[in-house]
Amino acid sequence: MKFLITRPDHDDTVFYLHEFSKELIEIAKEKGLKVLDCDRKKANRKTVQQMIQEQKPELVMFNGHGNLTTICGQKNEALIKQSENEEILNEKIIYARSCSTASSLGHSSVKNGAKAYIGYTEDFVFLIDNSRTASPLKDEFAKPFLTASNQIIKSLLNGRTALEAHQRSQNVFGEQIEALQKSDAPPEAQHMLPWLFWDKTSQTIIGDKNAQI
Amino acid sequence: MVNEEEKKLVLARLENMPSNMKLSMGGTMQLSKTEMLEHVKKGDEIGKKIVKIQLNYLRSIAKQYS
Repeated sequence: MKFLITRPDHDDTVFYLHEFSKELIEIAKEKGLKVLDCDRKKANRKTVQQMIQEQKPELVMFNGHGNLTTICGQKNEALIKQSENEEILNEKIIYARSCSTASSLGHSSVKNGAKAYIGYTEDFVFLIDNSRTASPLKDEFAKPFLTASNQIIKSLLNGRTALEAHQRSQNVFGEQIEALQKSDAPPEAQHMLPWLFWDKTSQTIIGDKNAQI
Repeated sequence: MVNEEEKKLVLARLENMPSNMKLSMGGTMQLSKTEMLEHVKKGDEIGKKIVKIQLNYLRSIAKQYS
């Protein structure tokens, strides 16, 4: 069983995704999966495409900028572009932690054979503490967003179906929101809630809800 | 369509944000509190999106208690 993950790190936003993905790599290794880590410069189109086609990973996670039709890698190179190469996602479960790709590219990927595609129909947003950009894992503003979004892969690695993974991530978003709504939550919590709620509602699943690795 | 009252409400909320908090939103964009306030005041596409996200949450809360 193989898990391919892209982890560009060329700006603060993707650096956060890069760092928060480390635990997913560790969990995958503990579960005995072979991890194809397209880290930094390896998050380029040629390498990612080649690895997907030759190694045939069952599970693929993209971290990076994106839009309706494109998922990007290092320095925003287009890794997967609708009507160009989404057919390489054939037979895979995809999770794209990227803006808006579930609106169009996700559907096109599933039409072209991807088993299931979990992503976001709108901008994936998160908050950053300016004083923590060098150590994202210590950033308490970013943590609720990236913990809840990490849950998709954690659940899939635990043998859950694509639908269960989506539901569990939704539950974690819900738990984070509830914790921040409590009267003893820190004062900044109220400013985190609208963005967290936005990510929760824009996360969606396309394709075979029973797909699992 | 955002009305002036809604815009004022969002501006008031953003004014209270901690100044060390910034937003990663859409593509490569990162916005400081000051930049968020400017976009909302201008009413440009980014400002409209910020208002939409804030109101979306506030309406969900209102629904919970209605």
